[in-house]
Amino acid sequence: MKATDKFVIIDDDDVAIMLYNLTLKHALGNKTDVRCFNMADDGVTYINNELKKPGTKSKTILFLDINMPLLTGWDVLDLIEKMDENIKKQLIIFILSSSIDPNDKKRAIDHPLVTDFIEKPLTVEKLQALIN
Amino acid sequence: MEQIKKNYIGLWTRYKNYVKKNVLANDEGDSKKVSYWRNAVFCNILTYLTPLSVIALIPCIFMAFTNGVPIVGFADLFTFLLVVVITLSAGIKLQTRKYIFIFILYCLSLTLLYYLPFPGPGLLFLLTVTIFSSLIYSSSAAYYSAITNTFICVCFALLIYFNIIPYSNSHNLGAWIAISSNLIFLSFVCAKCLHLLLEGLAASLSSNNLAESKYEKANRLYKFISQINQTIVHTQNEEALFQKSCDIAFKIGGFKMAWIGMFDYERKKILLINQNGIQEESVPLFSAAYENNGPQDHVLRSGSHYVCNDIENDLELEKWKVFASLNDIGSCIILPVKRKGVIIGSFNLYATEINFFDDAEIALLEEATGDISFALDVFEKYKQHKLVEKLIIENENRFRTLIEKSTDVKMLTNIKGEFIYGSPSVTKLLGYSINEFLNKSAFNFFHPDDLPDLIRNRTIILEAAGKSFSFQYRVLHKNGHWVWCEGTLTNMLHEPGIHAFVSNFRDISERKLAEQNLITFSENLNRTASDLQKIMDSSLDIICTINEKGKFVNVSKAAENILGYTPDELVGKKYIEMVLDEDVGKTNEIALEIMSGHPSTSFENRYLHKSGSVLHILWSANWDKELRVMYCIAKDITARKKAEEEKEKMGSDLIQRSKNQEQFAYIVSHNLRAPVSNILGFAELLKYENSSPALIRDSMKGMSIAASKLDEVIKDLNEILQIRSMISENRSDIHFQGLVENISLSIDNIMEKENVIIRTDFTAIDKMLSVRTYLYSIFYNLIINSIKFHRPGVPPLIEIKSRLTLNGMQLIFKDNGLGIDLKHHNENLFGLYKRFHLNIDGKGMGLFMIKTQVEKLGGKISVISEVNNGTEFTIEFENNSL
Repeated sequence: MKATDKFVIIDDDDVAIMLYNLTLKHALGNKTDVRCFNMADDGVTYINNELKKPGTKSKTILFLDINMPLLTGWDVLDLIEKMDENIKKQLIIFILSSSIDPNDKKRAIDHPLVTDFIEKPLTVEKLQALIN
Repeated sequence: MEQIKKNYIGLWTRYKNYVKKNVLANDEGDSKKVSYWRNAVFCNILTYLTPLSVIALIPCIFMAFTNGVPIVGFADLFTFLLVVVITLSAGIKLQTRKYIFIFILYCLSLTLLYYLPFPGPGLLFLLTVTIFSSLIYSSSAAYYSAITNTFICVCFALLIYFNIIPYSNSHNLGAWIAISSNLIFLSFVCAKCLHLLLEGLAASLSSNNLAESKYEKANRLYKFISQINQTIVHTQNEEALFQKSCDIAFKIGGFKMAWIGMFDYERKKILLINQNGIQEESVPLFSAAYENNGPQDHVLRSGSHYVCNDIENDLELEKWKVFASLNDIGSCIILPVKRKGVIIGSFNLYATEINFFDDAEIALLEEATGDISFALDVFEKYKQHKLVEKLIIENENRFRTLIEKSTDVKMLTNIKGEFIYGSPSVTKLLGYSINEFLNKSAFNFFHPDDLPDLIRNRTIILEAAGKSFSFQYRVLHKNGHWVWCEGTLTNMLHEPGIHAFVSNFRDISERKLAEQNLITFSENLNRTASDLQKIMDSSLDIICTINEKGKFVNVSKAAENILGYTPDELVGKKYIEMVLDEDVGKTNEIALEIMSGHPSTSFENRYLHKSGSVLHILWSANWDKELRVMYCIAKDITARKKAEEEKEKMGSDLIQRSKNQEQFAYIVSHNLRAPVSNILGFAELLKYENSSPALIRDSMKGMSIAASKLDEVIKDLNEILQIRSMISENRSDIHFQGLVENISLSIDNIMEKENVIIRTDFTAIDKMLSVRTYLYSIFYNLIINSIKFHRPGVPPLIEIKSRLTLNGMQLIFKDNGLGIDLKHHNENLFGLYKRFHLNIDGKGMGLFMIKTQVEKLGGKISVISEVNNGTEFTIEFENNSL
């Protein structure tokens, strides 16, 4: 993980978004590119448009919540699945959830697009562990 | 003395034999011929002459020499010597010997006549020559000799006349003529006599021969017949007889060839059957067609023999002649062979000699052939006889076997009732040996209870010949037990050969036993049947049979209890009539399955009780292929079904609730966790010493927001839990209309603002027994929801209805609002914190609360909706939950 990497956060909880922003900026610097969306469909649209652009060598890390109204995290994953290969290649997806339902955790880990499941909150330490 | 005699005799015999051997060396004649004897005489003459002539010789020679006539002496000597030579020397032909002998005697006699003064000796020898020549040669020779003598006498007479003879003075012509004439006549006499004698002898000999040959022939023929007759007596068949006849004809009969042939009338041929004397190659010639009017044909037609005694001259058949001459056949005879008076063939005999078959012979041969024919007849008769015998034996065997091997007992009793015959089956059936019941009274063997009947019937049939009756009586077995027998007794007293009562019976103990068993069995059967009936009637389930047309055949009493119909009302009715309409289809289906051989024990359907109520029936049915009926047991499971349904409902409710609980737990934990994790996150950030003041400030703000969110969640939770807890509040009758009016009043301002119209229709049912607060809450929440989620620009129109259902009631809330995308959200519709319209405020708790409350009251809530087309909520309560 580099400071030049982009971050996308999709979560319906505004407070949580605030937290992510602060945490990421504190850990990786204020210049870090963090985009937050509390409406899942907006986030999906952004990813699709942004990552279509050629020449982006750096990766985009997506932190995705599960329990959201209208579009759930799983729905989002399904939408990403339908995107082009080169877009998917650039994504590193993490499921961030406060759910302690073991089914959710399993489903996340089993999902081909998901790199890992992270339990909220996202702390600096957890971030650093990710970097490594 | 004896010895000397013997020696002389021996010597004499040896001498005789020696002479014989010499003289007759090459001429062993037939003793039946005269010539033989002539030669024998010649031999004997020589034999005896030689020694005996010595008697004359010595004095003659002596006298001759002493009396001045030596020439006579020399002549005598010479003659003697020559005789000795022809007697003793071998190698001279007999005829030569004879010539020399006669010649020398003539010489001697001439010499004697000439040189001696007296004619005696000379004339003696002349006579001797005549006699000898008659003996040695034929009788005609004697005549020649006599003539020669005469000639010699005449010559000498002339010599005397002319005085040529030395002693002429002692001879005068007259004296000579007188003396010589004696010689002449004696010569002739001797010649003639001897001629006659020898002729007679010859004739006798030849007639002897003839007689002998005739005798032999006759002998042969008789032997032939005798052999044939013997053969006839000893042979058993035609073939042997024919062959033997031919053999006998050939060997004993002395025929050159003999054969027997059979006539083939159809093909006009004669086939050689047996033969003897014919060569292999020639045999086929004999199996040929016979010509019309030929010898075979003649025999065939006339039935009498055909004879030809001189084939060469008589027989017309050319080719036959050739064959006959080739094989040296002179005569032939063809005799007819008959069988049963019909000519079936011919017996053919060929003889070498001509004129072989004279009458006597023919007669004998005819007799022989007749005997052969007789034999054939005898064979035939014998064959027939044998056949008949065989038939009789067969018949007898058959009948015997029938009677004896038959398992039925056959018995004969006399008029007194005593047994006079029983077939072997008696022993098998009753155990007695034949001896044990013969001559015993039959009445002793029958059961005393049957005896009167037997006696009565017997007396009846006694009156009419041939009458009979059938019976079934018990007969005493040897072992003492009674054997049931069935049979008939017939009066055959007048039947020739029988003269008795004939009874014929068999063991029916098995049958009787079977009858007895049958009675017992049918009694048992009846008992069983009545037992079964009791079982059927006492069964609480319906036991019935249904035929292939679907009609009841038999129905047990339980039908009355279960279906309300008596068995009589059901019999003949189609069961399908009582099946609930909805179940008719599946009932017919299962019926077909059962009838195709798949019995069912678990088919359920609904029937209509006579009173009209619905019953659940559980069927166990089996199809009988042969009798074409269904055997069924019907159990009333209405109660059970109800209980099952309830249990199911309870079960599914429980499952649902537990799911809900689980879900609830996760949702709650998640919703609790979310703010907590946020707080934790912010706290983390606040830990860092190098945090900027802005960071600190933001973090603290964030933390406090999160905390208040947490608080809210906990408050909501409490509310929910309150509903969920088992607070049993009092139930009371709640009128729906009143409820709605109350709610309308409390939200009067909102209703005015949004122009809400509420329409109600509680005509179906206007009240229910329930908990007022819950029902109020439900109504309230649904109304508020409908108002909240109205279509922009469209005033909310809410319609509330009540409806009665089969087993309960429904409350229907219909609005014209935004509707819900059910495709997307069906699962989550009533879920906690689920929101479907994010643009409108709400926690997502409304529907969740409504559902919880409805369920607490024992009802169910369901929804029908279309986006932008309104929503319809249906709350259903069942009777038993009210």
